[in-house]
Amino acid sequence: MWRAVRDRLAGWRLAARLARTRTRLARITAYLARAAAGLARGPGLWRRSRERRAGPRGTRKRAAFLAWVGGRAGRSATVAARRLRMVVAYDRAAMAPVLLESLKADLLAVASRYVDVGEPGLQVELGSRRGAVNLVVTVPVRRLERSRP
Amino acid sequence: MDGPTAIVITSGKGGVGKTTLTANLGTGLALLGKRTVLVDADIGLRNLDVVLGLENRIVFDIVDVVDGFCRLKQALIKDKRFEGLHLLPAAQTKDKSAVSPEQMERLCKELKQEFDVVLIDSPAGIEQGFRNAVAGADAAVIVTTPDVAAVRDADRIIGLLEAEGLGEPRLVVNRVRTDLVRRGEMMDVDDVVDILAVDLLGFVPEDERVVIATNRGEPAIMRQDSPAAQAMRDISRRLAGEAVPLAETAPPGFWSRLRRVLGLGAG
Repeated sequence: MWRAVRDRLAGWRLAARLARTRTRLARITAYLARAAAGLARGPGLWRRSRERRAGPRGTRKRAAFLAWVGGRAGRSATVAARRLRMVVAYDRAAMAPVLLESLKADLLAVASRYVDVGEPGLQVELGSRRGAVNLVVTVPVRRLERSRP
Repeated sequence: MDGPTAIVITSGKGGVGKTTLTANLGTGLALLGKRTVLVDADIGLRNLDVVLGLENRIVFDIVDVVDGFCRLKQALIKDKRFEGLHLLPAAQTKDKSAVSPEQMERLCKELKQEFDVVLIDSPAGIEQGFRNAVAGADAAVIVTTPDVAAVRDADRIIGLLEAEGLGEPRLVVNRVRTDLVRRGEMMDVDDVVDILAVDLLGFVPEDERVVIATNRGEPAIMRQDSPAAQAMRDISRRLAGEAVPLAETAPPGFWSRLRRVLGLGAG
């Protein structure tokens, strides 16, 4: 009797685990399908749409992807970690977010002396990873030739 | 640990469990055979005595000692339950300015002649009280919980400790709720370590047995049935210089097991 109950319980657990695995696999397959169609909506891995390409890349992106596939992307822990990375980076740089806006404007002015810059895609971000604070600037270039002689 | 050391336990944010952790780690170190003194540097908000269950035995306090009103030996309270554990209580009626950093430094030097370990319980905040607490310390332990406010404050404290010449603090992540971590609704220890970029001394899972033991004025670290006690015993041994491997935050989930099967990293 006891053994039967235990076997039944084990069976349920196994079924639940299989169901979880299946949802995960379904997620990955759906993602791959969308990626192949160039419509990737998750954090980009192989194919990045134009807007996505402007974002920060590398480890953070990979972490974001893993979190997304693992179903953790929208979870509060992931959100908390992302917000903290930003906040801590600003704290360490002792820089107010307002200053970043003026840095953005200056960078844009300097860059446009050399290349034709598309302002809407300009991204300036402070990020921290493993104790180092990075200033990540992404400047979208419209044309490579100088805008002025 | 070579020679006597003064270690400050600090956090920035209040309520993360500094005092409880100090009391338990002190007990743990005493149980390991270290002559240990706990210094309550939270002048005006004395708490370490009541957490340790020694509140009825205070005659003199830290301010009496630095003012020369009594000798150090007279102010030290010997815990009769644990061989080698002592407390230097804070004053309850004075404020933080009753002690200066120089006096604290001298006091710690004096204590190090008598004891193997001096554990200093720092007050919350970054003002005078914090400066006093770190003045005499040779090393620092940062306590945080896995929430945004505590981690941010911890980062600030790490910066301030660097300015004080305590460049390599070690981190304790306290009150980790493994159930929430598993559901992805609480940052895990790796997240916190990654953000703060300091060495991990250990993490303590949330455990109601700690609350219960503290209510009674008994150190929870003695309890054999408590995961938090086990974690704190491990941390004490690491503080004493032993190499104790870190436990896992949560039982390995699907992805870490898959990673292990595929041989991708340690999982």
